[in-house]
Amino acid sequence: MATNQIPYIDCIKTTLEAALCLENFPSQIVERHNKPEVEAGTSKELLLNPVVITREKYNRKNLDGQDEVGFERVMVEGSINSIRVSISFRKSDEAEKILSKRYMRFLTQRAEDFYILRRKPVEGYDISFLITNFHAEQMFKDKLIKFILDFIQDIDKDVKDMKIQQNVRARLVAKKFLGSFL
Amino acid sequence: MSNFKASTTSVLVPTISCHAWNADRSRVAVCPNDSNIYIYKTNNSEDFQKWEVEHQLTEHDHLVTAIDWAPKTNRILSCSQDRNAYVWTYDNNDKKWVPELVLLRINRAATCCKWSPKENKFAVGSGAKLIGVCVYEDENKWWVSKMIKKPIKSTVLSVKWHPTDNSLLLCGSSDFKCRLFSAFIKKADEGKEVNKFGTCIAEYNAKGWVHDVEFSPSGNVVAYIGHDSTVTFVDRANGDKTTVVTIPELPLRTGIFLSENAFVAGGYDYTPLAFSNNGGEWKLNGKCDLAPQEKAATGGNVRSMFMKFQQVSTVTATTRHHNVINSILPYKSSGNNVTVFSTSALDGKVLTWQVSDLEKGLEGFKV
Repeated sequence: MATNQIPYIDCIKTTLEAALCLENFPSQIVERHNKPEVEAGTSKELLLNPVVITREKYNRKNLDGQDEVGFERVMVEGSINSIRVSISFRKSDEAEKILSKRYMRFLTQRAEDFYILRRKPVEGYDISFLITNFHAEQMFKDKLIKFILDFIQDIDKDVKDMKIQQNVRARLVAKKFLGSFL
Repeated sequence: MSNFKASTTSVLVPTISCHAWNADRSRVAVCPNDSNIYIYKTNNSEDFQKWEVEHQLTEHDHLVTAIDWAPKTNRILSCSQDRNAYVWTYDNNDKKWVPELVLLRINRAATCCKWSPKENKFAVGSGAKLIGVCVYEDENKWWVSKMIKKPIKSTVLSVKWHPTDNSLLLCGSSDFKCRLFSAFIKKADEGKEVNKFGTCIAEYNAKGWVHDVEFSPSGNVVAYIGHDSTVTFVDRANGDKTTVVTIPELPLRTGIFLSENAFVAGGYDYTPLAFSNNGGEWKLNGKCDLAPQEKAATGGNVRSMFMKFQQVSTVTATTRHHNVINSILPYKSSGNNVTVFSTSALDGKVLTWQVSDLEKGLEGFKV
């Protein structure tokens, strides 16, 4: 773990620990249903205030060359029987933006394999997890939290690696292609 | 992620959602977090590994949310998210439990239930934002309910009766309130009707969902557990003197009074916490998972600090339960004081705790 990331990860960990206090709660709106209240959002008193943890603000240039502001952040929305964790990764340029978008698409298409992955991220975020009381009953809470923390760190690393690979490849292709003109 | 599944070694069932004891503690009813109820024969053992399944009650078709075993009349009351409640009576000839449907008339899940002290009526809390108080109708041979609707604004999470007064009902709900109702029904209660049925006698505020409410053995002190990691004690005999005890841990889910001056509660920290009242002030005494004496760190302080730094796991393996504690019940009592209490948790275990050990291990804790 990079040292400068520790406070960010620690903060997310503590927030998740507090938010993951879930119980089996049947819907009070729909008969004989049991819905994640954070998704249904039909009873205000059952929702907790969302917490947004921002690591840093960064500037990047978009395709038109204009400056854009991005935030590396995590949002934790709590409720009585479920929580939703949404993550926005650092995307310092257009290449990282595209890479992370494709990568997230790859993952969300395989959402069943991840149990807690949501098929569609919350607007403004790259990827979302939905953890219900049923997940918390079946799995160890600390391992669930560790999975999310590892995920945040790994994706960052993966995207950076992919970007390097992509640059290497681009250089190679350009060399081969333009070499014939020499 | 398959290796994330909680392990199933040495548990009664994979997960438990609630449990209830019979009068002499020779049987225990356990709901394995589904629509069934198992009745275990305990074989005089507190160790759940020696228990045997005796009966399986399979009338519900959604998760069973609460079970209550009436000690005097030996009847089991169960309620479920399928909107129904059943009263089970044991048929000595057929050697089986016979269900009796309760006409609850609610259109949402039943979330909690409790027999009144006289066991001639019971209360069922519901997701329909009301409480049904049920009495037996001899003419029709069924249980009929009478509703308390106002002013409950959200799901009722727990109901408790006054230990001696058959007409006082305490309820906690997810609208951040703990309320005391009159549940006087002429058929079941003698004496004069002091408050009309359904009158809200008192209302106490919390800052989170009220998971559990409790009366002390005399009924003078009311305790309620909020999701904001607090337990609030209200001394009704003393002009509603209120003490809010904030715990430095994750929220609690359920609790019981061990005596007039001692309280234990368990929840999301996997260990019961002990509270006591010394001279009118309620305070937290500590965790019931008594920490073993810390050994002197070998290799100096730096090493132990490094080890602490390395530790990724958020849960210390020192607790006896490994998941959320969701019900606490008295197991053995002498007089009004509980000497042994039992807890059940989502990790599939039912454990017992000796109060005398806690008195020795926790400073200032006295039952």
